[in-house]
Amino acid sequence: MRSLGQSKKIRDNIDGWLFVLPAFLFLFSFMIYPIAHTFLLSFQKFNFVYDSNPVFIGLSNYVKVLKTPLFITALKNTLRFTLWYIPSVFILGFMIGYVITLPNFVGSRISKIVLFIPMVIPLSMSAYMFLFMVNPQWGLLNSFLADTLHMPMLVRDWMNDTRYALKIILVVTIWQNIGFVALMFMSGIQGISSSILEAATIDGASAYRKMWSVILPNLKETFQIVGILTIVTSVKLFSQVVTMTGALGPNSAGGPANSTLTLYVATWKSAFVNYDMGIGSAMGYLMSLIIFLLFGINFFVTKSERA
Amino acid sequence: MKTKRSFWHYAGEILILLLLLIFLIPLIQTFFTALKPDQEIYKTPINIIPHTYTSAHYRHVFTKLSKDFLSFFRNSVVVTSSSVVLILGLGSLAAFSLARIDFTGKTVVVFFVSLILSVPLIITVIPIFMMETAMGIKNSNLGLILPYTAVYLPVPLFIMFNNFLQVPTELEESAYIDGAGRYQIFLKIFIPLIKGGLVAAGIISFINCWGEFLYALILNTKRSATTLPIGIMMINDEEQAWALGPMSAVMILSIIIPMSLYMIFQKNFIKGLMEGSVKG
Repeated sequence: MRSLGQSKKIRDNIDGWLFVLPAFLFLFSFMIYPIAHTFLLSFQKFNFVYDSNPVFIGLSNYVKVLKTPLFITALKNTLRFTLWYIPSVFILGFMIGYVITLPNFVGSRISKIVLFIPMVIPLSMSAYMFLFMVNPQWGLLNSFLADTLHMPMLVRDWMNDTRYALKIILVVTIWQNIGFVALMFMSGIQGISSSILEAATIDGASAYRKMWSVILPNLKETFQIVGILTIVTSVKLFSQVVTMTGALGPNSAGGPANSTLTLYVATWKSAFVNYDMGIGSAMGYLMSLIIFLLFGINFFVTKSERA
Repeated sequence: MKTKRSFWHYAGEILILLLLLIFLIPLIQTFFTALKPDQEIYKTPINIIPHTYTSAHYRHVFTKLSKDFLSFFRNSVVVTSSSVVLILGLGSLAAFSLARIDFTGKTVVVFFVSLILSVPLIITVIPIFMMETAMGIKNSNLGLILPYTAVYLPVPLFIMFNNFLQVPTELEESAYIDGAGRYQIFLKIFIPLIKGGLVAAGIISFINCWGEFLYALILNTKRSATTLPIGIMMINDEEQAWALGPMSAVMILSIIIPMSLYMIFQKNFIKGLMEGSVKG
């Protein structure tokens, strides 16, 4: 019996790896190996155009990056975006998810269909749709403000104004992702067993009380997942910025006056506009570090809510 | 059984419909701009719905822009469909193994697959760029298909994994007793049983690859290999002013395929989104 079990185990191991192998080879060559190589590059001086061979220089790239004012600007913009994006998406997504799952809400099917439409549109295309709407001369937004609301003082050159450019990009990003976040809340709310909610109703709990004592505490896992999703989306902010601000070539991306320069865009610029692979790699790793730090905060916050 | 609906109930529903309409304005505006004559596009106040309709912008896309647009479109179709086929093929094999075969080292595979979902992809692009320059496959469809297959593998893999887990063990066992090999069992028993999951995984991969931006931006510097998400930037640069009409037409044409797939397989898409993310 033992030998039979043994041989089955060997078979399982061979088959298991054979089935995984093709996918694993792809992941290894195009994900795992590159991630390791970039780590190495972040300690090397290597300009793709000028240097023939990379030279090991220790932590110099990291020191240099942290001293660059542009990196600090990018970090500030990314954190600013994160601080706007996360609360708005949480609140909107929860509200939409709550309304759609209300038992007597008739429009839930059509709402779902409509909310997911932006997810299907390539990000660069949605970015152009919004870019045209905020066009200073022929855009719908200015026309609405001036001609419909008769408030011409609100008219702006939105994407050329350092106060508004990043906020317009925020709107595009929310538009694109809100369906997915709402879906997460929908499935979270549906996961709360109806008997708990019924018991609360029988006990005479008010809607307000039900929200705070039954629904929200039962959504911890959803909060955690949505937290991870929104952190990733906000730190990886890239295509919208390049599409909406890069019309004059790669150097204008992140403008006006670096007000929309995010970490991702800064990394892309150093690696693929200046071709400084060492600096680009160091920035990429710093960005990953920030993502994992935010994951940690997210984990801590959602965990402490358990109390 | 029917409860009486109050006035406020109807009012609330109309409000929701109105909100949904506002939500869709960017798309509606683009759709109608593509059909508006220039005199109406460049005139304030702007009417969303045109007074007169024209096909001039679509004709412009298929005459003056046709060389660029059709090549971008062809590249998108080739790159996306090849990547989807590879993702489904490799992904289903791997998902089957992870869900159904007990082997050592499983956790390592799962760890790497999950890692890819959280790491910013730009740290993979730098070596891929150098690698593809050395291999001479930059500016080619293959140069995008290879990384896309790797990057967009995890979510479809998790979707198929979840579907494989739900298949009852009895089916598998009786097939083993009949002397069927593992590959046969995978192909003849499991694949037909997870059709819904395959469709979901396929659509999600299609939409991801069709809209991919970062790799397409960096690995293609020539127009001949460019896909639509980057191509639209090139068209915009070239057309400069007076381009709102043709640009809108290009955008509508570029989203027709993913949009129709979504409309047809909407249920699978939503189900897939949930299965793929909760696991990841």
